[in-house]
Amino acid sequence: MIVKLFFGIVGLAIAPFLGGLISGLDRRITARMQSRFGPPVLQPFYDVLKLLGKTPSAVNAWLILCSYFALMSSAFAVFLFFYQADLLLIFFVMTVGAVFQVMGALSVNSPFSQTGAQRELLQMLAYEPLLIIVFIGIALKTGSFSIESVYAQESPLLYSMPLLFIALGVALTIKLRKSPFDISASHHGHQEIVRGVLTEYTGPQLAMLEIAHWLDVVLILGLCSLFWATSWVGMLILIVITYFVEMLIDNITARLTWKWMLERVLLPSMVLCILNLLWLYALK
Amino acid sequence: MLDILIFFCIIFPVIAGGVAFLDKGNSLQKRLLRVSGIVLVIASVLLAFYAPATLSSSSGLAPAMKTPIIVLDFALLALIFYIGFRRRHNLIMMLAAAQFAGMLILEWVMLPGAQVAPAAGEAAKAAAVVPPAFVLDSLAATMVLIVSVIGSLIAWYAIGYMKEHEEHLQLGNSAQPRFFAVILLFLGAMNGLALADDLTWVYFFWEVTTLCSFLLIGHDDTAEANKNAERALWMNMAGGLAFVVALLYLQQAVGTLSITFIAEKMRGAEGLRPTLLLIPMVALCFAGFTKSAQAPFQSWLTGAMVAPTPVSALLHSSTMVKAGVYLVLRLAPLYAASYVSTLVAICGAFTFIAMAALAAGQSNGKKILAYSTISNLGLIIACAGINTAASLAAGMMLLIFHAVSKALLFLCVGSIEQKIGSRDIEDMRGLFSVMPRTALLTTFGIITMMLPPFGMLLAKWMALESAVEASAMPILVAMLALGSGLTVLFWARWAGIMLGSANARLSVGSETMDTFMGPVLRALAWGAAIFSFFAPIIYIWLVEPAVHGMVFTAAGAENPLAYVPGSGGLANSYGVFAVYPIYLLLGLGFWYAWRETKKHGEPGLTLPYLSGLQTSQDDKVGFIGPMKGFVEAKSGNYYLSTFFGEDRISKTVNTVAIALLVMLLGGVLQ
Amino acid sequence: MKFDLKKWIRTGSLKSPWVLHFDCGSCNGCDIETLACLTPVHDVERFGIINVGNPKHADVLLVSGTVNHRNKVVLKNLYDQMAHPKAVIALGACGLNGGIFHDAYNVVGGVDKVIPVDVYVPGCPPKPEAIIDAVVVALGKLKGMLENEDAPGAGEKQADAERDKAANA
Repeated sequence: MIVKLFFGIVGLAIAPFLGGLISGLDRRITARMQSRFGPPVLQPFYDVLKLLGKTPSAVNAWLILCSYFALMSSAFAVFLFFYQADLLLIFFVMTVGAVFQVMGALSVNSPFSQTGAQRELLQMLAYEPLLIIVFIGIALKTGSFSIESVYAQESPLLYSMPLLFIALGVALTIKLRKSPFDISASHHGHQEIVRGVLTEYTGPQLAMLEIAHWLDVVLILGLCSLFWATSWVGMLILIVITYFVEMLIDNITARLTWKWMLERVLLPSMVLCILNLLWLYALK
Repeated sequence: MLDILIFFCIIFPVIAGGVAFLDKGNSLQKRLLRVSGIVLVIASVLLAFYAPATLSSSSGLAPAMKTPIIVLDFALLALIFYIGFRRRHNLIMMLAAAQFAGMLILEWVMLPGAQVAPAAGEAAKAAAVVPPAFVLDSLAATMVLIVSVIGSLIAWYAIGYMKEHEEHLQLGNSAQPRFFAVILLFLGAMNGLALADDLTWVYFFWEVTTLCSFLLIGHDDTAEANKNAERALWMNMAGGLAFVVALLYLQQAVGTLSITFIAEKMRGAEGLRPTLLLIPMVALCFAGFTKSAQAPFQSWLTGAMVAPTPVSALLHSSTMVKAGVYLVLRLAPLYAASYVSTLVAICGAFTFIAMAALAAGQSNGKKILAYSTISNLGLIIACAGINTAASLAAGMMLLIFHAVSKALLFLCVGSIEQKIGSRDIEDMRGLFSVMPRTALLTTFGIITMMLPPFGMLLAKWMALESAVEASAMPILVAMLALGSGLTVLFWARWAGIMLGSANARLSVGSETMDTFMGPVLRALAWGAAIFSFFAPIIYIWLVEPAVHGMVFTAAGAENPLAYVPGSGGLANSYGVFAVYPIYLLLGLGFWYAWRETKKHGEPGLTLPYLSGLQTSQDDKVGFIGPMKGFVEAKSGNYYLSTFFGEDRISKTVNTVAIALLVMLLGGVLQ
Repeated sequence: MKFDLKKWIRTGSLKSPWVLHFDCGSCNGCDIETLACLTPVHDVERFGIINVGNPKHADVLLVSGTVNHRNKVVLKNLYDQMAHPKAVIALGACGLNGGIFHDAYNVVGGVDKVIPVDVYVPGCPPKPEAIIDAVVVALGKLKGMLENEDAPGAGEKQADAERDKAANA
């Protein structure tokens, strides 16, 4: 209990730095893929520090409330992950942050913010079922929803649930709003609906959501690492490969529409999930 | 004492209803409703402390009720036949006549014969095994608590609502006496349904609620209301007919209609084959599906939304539709470990996902609530079908928390509709600046429906974890996962757009609320918050004892515990439901966020980004349009009508649902 | 070593200028040069410069083209929606004083007729190097604003009011 608490707190303390670093590396490697030099690796930290120093000017108080609460629930989710808590609990706490972010965006009468929020809801609709099924698959395999039981496994989960890992990768891309699923809030430099769900969050609020996003990155990569929980090296290699593939896909694809996402990505992924579940179910 | 409490729960409201009906001057009504509400609340709470208990049918209240119930049963069917005749609705007439005939056979041919048989054999033994009239187990107590407490709150709310409603409709003659009489009659019948052990009595109360529902849907007496009332009546009568079939079959095959006795015979060594029971169980589940408006019967419930909002809250979300799932839950041990159970789970899960999809395609607030109600009932039925201790517990938790949150939401929509004249959620944009308190209460209600740490989510979480043990697990899990994704979609956007306000500060403006309606809304909101916190205690007090008796086990085996209290909440081998820490941490987080936001005072007020053309007028944001006129910026939700439009998927949903029902019925006849 | 958040924020602010580019009626010559800065050849992201589409996220407003009576409101609105501290760069001959359109009936003049301008970049169009250099100069101005923290944006507000008056006259 105390050890787990310690892990949780240490994990939570490290996660923002780790997330920011990953984000910086991401930008750097992305630039290299586009034969640019790219920003310093610490650039995300500069951005967030700058945003924190800006004069707050929100359209209404809900934006401030929602950004604080979104950050806090993301932090709570990361804490729960390192605390090795129940997978579904982590998922639901993560949802709180996402829902509040959307609610804040919806409370402003700006077409960009509204459209972004609606699309973000559709993205949630796309990744939530996949994550739930992945977690249920893990529980079916390990006999429990707690992360502890994953670490107790003797062979990597990836062996028995490769299709679920692919589904998790899809969910990861959608959750992190990487191309082709940067539907609700585009990256820097892409301005289809300005910045979608993030349009109305300014200065410190945007900084908080940015930190929340880093925490989400850490959380999701942590979830990926569960698929090779038997050795630290395997875990690291799996995360690095997964994230590299994410970056590659991010750079070689163009944005899709939400219809495409629901019809051609969510449904096939669900089929993959069901197939893998059937297999696990048959083995059991 | 038990006799008196049951009297106050069942017969007292009916008498009060009768008095309310006769009181044409409306003078007594308010007092009567207030008093009977308080009596019901007290009686139901006391009753809950008495559980578990049984009341024999041979002494006390029960024998006195026996003959009136039989007489009233036939009178009721005759009345429904008459209604069908008056409305020239052949289907209703046919269904009523068929049930009348069925009951006639049961009461005059089968039951007398059955009673003679054991008396001739072993008189002493027969006397010892008098079936109980009322069984007060924890499940029944939970149901009675929901009906009495939430029912009374809604009835109080209705006092304020109906006054405004009638002023709005400009009725010459007040229909309020009849309205409140039916409401009270309904409360009594619901309590009867929950407590009765003899299936013929359950059937009688069942049909009374059907009639109440019919009368209340048609209350406004418009063409649409009458049409929808008739549809509700015939669909529920179809379920009633299935109920009668089940009664006849059970009497023939098992020789008793007491739920306790059937369960005992099933567990005992009397060699009752479980497969024998499947036909009546399927029929009763079918009846439950119609009552709970499960697909393909959802149209009666969405049609019922024409009724005044308290009716929708009371009958069509919190209590009456729960009768169907109550029956399915109650009978769960009787069809456990059979393919019926699997199919029931799949039917429920299908309704869960299909209705969530239909709700996502709606902008009509009450219809969203209706579809989400059916969807959640589907989830409860899926839990019953999964039929493990954990899933039954999840189902009961859903039953409790759904009733509180949904009543709150319906009543909020009622208040909003009376103020802004619309129930469309697009018209609720920026409601916070018009009705700040109601908007916040509605948002809170929505959050209790979908986010942790509130009870509904806890129950959904339990349901998902218990689904791992289900028999058709992969397909079931996929449906449950997709359904819960859809649920978040339609709730979150509703909550978000209501908060829109040009007011930069986090201050809740004043709002005059009706003296009856305001306190009820607040009470329900507090109830949703407090009950969620004490969910583990509710579990230990009400859910665990009920589930313990319900789980199907092989004879002699120890009943497994669904969850063990501890670890800051509840736990089982699959997961830890640490309710208290989550509640406290998320609550603390929210409190901190709220405080920090308050600290900001008035953050430099700016307008939303509108491509640099923004301007504001009368607290509205927009552009300067042609002729320098002000044009308000408007946006709407995505309703995804190409995916989830009612006209687009209803047919598919109904076809699949009918196919599932046919599988359920057909498999058993094989 | 003392942890000084303000110093950190200052460091961050000088390393992360997000630019909002507003075309105020330019012939697109300046715009093409501005976008050229984003290409791999010049790659402004090296300096943390990002072209954002939203004044609420921007630190530097880059305006090209002449200001006319139709779009002066838009320019003013965009400027107002940017959070302090912020800087403005006027780009090209037109942005400086109206350029060859300066005496057209519909033209107000340079960008500084409507909002305060911190950096002027001459040229028709200016080279990408000049534009990047302008952002660096603007950063110097931002640094000054950050150091003079007693009244953030006070000077700007006063200038705003005066210019409003002039523009409306």
